[in-house]
Amino acid sequence: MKKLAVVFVISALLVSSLLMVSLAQDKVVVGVDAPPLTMNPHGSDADSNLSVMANIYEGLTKRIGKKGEIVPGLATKWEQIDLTTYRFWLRKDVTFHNGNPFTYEDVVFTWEHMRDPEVSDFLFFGNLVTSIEKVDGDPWVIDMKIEKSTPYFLNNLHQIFILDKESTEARSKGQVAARGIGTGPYKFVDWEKGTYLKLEAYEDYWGEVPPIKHAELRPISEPSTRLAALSTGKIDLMSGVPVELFQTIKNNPKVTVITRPSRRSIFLGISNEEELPTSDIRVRKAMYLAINEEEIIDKIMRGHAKPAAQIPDPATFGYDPDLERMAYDPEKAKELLEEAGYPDGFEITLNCTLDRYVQDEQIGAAIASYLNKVGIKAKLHAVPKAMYWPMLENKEVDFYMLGWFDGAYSFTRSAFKLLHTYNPEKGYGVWNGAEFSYPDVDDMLEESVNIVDEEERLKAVQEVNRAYMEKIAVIPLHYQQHLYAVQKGIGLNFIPRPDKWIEFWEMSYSG
Amino acid sequence: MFSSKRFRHFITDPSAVIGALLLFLFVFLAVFAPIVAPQNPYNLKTLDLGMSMKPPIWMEGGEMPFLLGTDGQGRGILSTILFGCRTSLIVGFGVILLAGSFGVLIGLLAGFYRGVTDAVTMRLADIFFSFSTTLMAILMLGVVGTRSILVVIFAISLPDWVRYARVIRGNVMSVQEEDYVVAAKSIGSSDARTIFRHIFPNSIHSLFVVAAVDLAVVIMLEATLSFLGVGVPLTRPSLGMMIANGKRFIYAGNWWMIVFPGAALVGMVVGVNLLADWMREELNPKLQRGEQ
Repeated sequence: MKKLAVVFVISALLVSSLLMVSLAQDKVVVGVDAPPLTMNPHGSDADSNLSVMANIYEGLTKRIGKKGEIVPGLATKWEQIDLTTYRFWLRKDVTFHNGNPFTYEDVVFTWEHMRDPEVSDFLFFGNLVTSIEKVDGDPWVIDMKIEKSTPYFLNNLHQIFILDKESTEARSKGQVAARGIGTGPYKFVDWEKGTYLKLEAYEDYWGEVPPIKHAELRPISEPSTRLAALSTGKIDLMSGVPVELFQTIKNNPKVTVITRPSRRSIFLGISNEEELPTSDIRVRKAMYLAINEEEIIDKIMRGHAKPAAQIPDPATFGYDPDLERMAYDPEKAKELLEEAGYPDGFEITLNCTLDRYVQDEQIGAAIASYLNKVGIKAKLHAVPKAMYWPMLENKEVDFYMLGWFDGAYSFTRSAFKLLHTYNPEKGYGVWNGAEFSYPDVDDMLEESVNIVDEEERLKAVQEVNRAYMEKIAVIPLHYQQHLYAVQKGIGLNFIPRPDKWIEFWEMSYSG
Repeated sequence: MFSSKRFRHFITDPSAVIGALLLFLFVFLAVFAPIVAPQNPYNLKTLDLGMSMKPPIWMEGGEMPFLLGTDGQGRGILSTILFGCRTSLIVGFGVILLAGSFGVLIGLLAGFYRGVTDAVTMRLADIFFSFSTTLMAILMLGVVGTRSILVVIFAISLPDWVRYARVIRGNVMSVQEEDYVVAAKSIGSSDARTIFRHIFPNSIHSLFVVAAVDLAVVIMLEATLSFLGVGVPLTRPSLGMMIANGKRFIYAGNWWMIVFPGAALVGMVVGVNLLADWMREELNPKLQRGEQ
């Protein structure tokens, strides 16, 4: 009898452990640093939110894989008719998670929704489209007219998520923000704000049903807690491994580290207002030369960054491979300062965040120290991001640090937001926190938009890029690197995306 | 007050001697930090990123003059601790001065006039005492906008004066019954004269004990505020801030960034507390030792 009991217990244990393995194979739990804020896909343009939205919703196009290639989404193909008209062929037989069919009406409604300032962070893009019309009465072929030539229009569509007209109109704003209904590969199951978001594979998905049935996202903001969750098996994958813990994690036999170059560059913006010393290009150049970027990468980023000579990354339209970083040369910097009439330096305050970019405060402190070494009396003002963004938006700073990657892969778009002279009516220079202004380069930028031929336009955009860099409108620092850690031995296939989005439908288990 | 008998008591009490030595050491190092410290960690010109994350000198990779290693910016831990102790003590003595003088004044008035004055000030004291220092610091940071050492002193003082007021009030009440006070009043001495000439000198005997205990509490509070990021500005060295910085690196094995500033904080507080304990026993007439 006793023996029988033992056999029973052992077999029960065996069966349950087998069950656990098979359970683990159809579920993935990912720990991230920032929680999703809303389930309304137009409610936030933060990448942490868009990342989640792309699991539940879809745009007319999608971006997939390691390179972020554009593939058909809710549109099967598209064509640019002229500078301001685009034609889309809509996908038939697609249903939303509530069973409603996807139609032309939903596209029209999506743009209406994006124009409503109460629910949308995408006002610019919402207002850009002036009309959406059926072509020859066919509801599956539509023409979109836009207000003015916008070369990156197609590149941005993957993050313009299509809403279901019927259920969005029928529900209150709060309900829309609390429960997502899209056409995406995963459907919404349950969301405890700030704690977890549970998703389930959508069986009637028009494309390939994702291999992992259950997906869960857990925001854990403290990196060491996130790491603890990973090593104890509570999560399968974590994003945002802090650089100072990289070596420790690498030595941990239970986890594998995955790195990939990030598209985000970090740079410093400087005012060129007339009464300031920094209006002199020699002074700006001296500041550029005074910064030892190699040492920052080596000591502060622990090797997890690449030096940058410009804001866009190689994948962005307008990246100029010929631009090179000026080498560190403190002696030359001192000479330049003397030439410009500031042998004893001047006072300047570098503003930066302390909770946004990898090692942001440490980088800021190091830069202040480098500038002091060539005689510029630089001080550091590091504040939480919640205080920092309004400072930039209200143009309260003369010298600031910012990180940027262009979700639409377009330097034109970046330049209008970051480098163009501030113009609130047109929405230009919204992130140009120091209100620097180079009108002749701005003109070049505005003209480049009207070039139809893509090769020619690329040349023109690269020229704009080079021109801003030659004026030292900003001092580029480096491109960050994304660091992930995965539990070893569970066979999770995960390929990091260039936009850092966590897409469950691109993951699978092997074996 | 400072008799040879006291000194004999002091020198034969090991914990008092250790406490005094510790406090003296920290005060000395803090005052002479610019001379003693191998480096001024907050002079940005002298920082060298190439010297960052060095371990203490006795470990492999350690380098002179960074006896206790360096942090991520190449600041020597030892030097930063010395300058950090300075901040701790400035805040400590600043609060004692500000909260102490205000608290003593309120205590004198409440104890002397009693009645409505007493009731109002003591209820006020109850209210202020129930404010948390951290909350005060955050609120004041919101109002003032920038972090500064004065904000920290003020934020800590706001609830802290109550300690002084309560003790002094009690003393004044008992002194007031004494014959010399009654006599002074009866010959028509003014209130101010009675308070400051007769009552005040006779009710401050326990002030030193309160102040000593308070110093330890305030040093700890300043470290807490700076640890939480609502204390002294980033450009000022502070033990609390060092501990907060070190916390990020403790999993990475750079223990010296958190252990040494932590030890310095503990050392300073233990020193002050040992001395305060001895003073409490020594200055309390009810605990007078057998020796006559």
